[in-house]
Amino acid sequence: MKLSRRQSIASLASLGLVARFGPARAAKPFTPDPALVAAANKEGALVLYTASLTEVVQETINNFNKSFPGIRVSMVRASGGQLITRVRSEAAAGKLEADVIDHSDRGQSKSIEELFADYAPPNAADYMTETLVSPKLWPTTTPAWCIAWNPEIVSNPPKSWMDLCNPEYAGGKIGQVIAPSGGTTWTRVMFERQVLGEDYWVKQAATKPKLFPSSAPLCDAVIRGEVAMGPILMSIVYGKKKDGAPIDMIYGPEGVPITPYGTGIAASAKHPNAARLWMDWNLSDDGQIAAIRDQGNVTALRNPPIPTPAFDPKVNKLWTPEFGQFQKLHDAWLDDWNKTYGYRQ
Amino acid sequence: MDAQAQSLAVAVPNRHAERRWLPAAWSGLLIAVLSFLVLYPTAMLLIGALTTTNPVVEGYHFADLSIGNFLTVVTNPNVGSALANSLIACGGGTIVAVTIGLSFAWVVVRTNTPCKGLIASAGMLPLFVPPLVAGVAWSILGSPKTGLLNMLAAKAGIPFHIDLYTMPGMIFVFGIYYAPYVYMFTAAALRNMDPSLEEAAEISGASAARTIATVTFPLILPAIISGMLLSFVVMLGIYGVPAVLGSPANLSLLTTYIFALTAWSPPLYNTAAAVAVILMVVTGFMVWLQQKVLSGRSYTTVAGKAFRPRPLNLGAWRFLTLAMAMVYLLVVVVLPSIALFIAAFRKFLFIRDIPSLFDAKQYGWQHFIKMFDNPLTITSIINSMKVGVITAVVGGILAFAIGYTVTRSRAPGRRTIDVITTIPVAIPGLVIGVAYLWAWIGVPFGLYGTLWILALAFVARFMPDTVKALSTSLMQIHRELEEAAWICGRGTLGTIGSIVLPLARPGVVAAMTLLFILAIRELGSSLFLYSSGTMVMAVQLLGYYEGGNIGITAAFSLVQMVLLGVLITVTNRLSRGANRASPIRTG
Repeated sequence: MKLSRRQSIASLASLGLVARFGPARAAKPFTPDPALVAAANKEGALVLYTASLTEVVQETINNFNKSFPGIRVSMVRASGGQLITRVRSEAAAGKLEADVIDHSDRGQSKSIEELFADYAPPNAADYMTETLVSPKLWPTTTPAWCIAWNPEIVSNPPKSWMDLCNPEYAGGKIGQVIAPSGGTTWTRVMFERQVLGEDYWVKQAATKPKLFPSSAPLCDAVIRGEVAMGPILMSIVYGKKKDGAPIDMIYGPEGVPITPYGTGIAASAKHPNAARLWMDWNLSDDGQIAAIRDQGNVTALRNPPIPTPAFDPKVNKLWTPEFGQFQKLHDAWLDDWNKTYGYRQ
Repeated sequence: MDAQAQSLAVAVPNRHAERRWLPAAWSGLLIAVLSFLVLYPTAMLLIGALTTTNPVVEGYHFADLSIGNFLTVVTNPNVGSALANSLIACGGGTIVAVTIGLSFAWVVVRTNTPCKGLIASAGMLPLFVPPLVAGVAWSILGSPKTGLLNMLAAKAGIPFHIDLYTMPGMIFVFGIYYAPYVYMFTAAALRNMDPSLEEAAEISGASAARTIATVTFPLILPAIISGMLLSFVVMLGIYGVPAVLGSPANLSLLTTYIFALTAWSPPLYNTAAAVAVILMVVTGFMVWLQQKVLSGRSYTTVAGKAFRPRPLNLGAWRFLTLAMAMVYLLVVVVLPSIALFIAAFRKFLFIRDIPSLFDAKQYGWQHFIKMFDNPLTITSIINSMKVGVITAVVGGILAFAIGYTVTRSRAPGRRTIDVITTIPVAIPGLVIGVAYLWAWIGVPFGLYGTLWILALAFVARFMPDTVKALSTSLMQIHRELEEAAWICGRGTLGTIGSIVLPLARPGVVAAMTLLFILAIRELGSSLFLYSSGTMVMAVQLLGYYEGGNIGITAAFSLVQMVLLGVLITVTNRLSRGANRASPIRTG
């Protein structure tokens, strides 16, 4: 069988070969102010609150520590809702431990905007304005949704988002992450309704997909063969694929929903210089290269410093929701989604 | 009356008068401690359920109290369905657990079945396995699509197909995993039971079966009911098993429902608190029922007379009980352990066919290497051990104090103490975790962010389990033993130290061991109280699971099982040493 172009992209050999919006530009090495580095080293520590997966964040910490070994980064990880509850409670009691707060739901970060310090990275002008929701919050991480499947059990893989409504895959072959799980999934379901059509949810729900609480267990289920395919965050699929797991993926030709994070420095940070150095490094080309190369993320930088793996700019277009709608439509649309998919709430 | 006698007569009442306040002060102290540990967080939970705000952030607005959250959840058919599913799954699981646990205890303690030591040790292994991992292990074995058992049966041409993503599947897994709870209670009671009661029945011509039914089991009824109640309420609060086995079939239980409410963005804690209150009502009813059943009866089986437990000679039938025990161990220990080993050592859990299952190239240490590369792994192990020890010691002492006061003293307010102690059993960990955070975040002396706050939460959360485990032992000690010590001039503390504690030592050790295990496994309250420096194993395990890495999750679980196994072996030896040193048993 002759593989289509997109299927070819899905193979591991093609990872890292294609560019994003335009040609990748030369990366600018991160050269922080020596005074900031000295001050951060003097503080010697940093507490990061994150809604990202532990292993992914630990990888980022390891990369950061290659350049700045004198700063010990401690992490507190919780799911989106639990993290916000903790931050609000600690802050109200004057005991917020976090120096940096990292959240996938920009709406949630924005709702506690007053807890963040004023901050802008040295390369602030390089970031796409449509990914910014507050002068205090920055997209250190930008995960993207792809379509993934297990090639051991799928002989005719999906080639587009619309294929995930194909009756051929009905009867529990498709896995789906529940819409209320967080900011990344909310972005995807907005994309489905706004870009793929008002009736997309109805069509897909008709295939009786199996529902999962988040992308990571869905990815595991695809690898095990519990379900055959599903929309999953590329950052989760990418590492498994690199390790040799039976999983392939493509970016949908109708668009690639992305979720720029809302990350910022806590106003009450006990290690403000280490926090600033962490943010500067994460948002620099060096930090974004690590996120793209090691984790399969995209970047919110206007021009990516390196090509984005599996992303063909001639075919794939990034999609990010309009922030006003991201907040305004949330409750009503989630309610619709829950009803359409028969998800208990 | 001479002068000396007269002065003595005056002095004794005076001394009594002086000390009359002591029991009241003691009860007051216990109630104060329990108020901090239990009532205050529970009040925060109730405030949460009656408002729509975070009390720490928005403060207390008692004028805004309403039953809106309750109306929302009560009128939501999904809550009713989750409640019904919970009752069916946990009720069915309890029946399975009692059947297995009680039989198992009887076989180990009261019969001459061979290999009893092995059976007893191996049978406790499920207790070390976090529920999340139990769910994962059984999904590997019993998934309708990729389950190893189905694959092996198909290969062997056996018309057998198992689907654990069902209600019977959850009942089965709940039952086999919580049978050790029933075993722990009933085995301790059987060990402490004077066999002369059974001998009397036998001499009177009763058959072995009739003796068991009319003497043995009725005498250990408190232990059976305690074990039954504990396993039921623990199951009610378990998230891992229904999350893994129920979710694929869209079977929602109250815990998975509550977890979803707390994890959604934005979280719905106030609604979760209202659901938790419903769960509290159900559990409260069960506790009331237990007390109603046990009230007004005497279950004293340890008196001042020396005895040596005599195993029942089963003759050739002992090989049948051995075979049954082996089948139980195969199902409960061997099969899930094999599944965990496969998951921990196999690169990926996609198993194309049977030859692929045995392909050595698919196996390696990669998950262990990755796991130990993460510095949080070691940190979490060290922290968990520390917090486990603190919890076991502090909780053990407090539980003994409460258990003694409630079951053996006439201190005022002991009934109140008993009721307060029982409250946490009814509150799911995921919700009480937030209540602890709300309640204790403002406590001075830098408590928040330390291992101590975790330990206090565990002590409070598992106080009912620990006190129940201890009370069962305490209830079996006849009052005449203490009275003998008092007559000999010992004070209350002296009597406790020389009589009660040595006799209850197996129960104390068992309760502290249980507390240690529960503390190591506890996820719900850890999630909100751990800080950057106090990561614990349960949170780290959830992190690995939520990261979709079943391999590392299984590897980490194996490490946890080995650590707990070592600990249990040590405490078993201590407990046996205690038994040997017991004055009753040595006569």
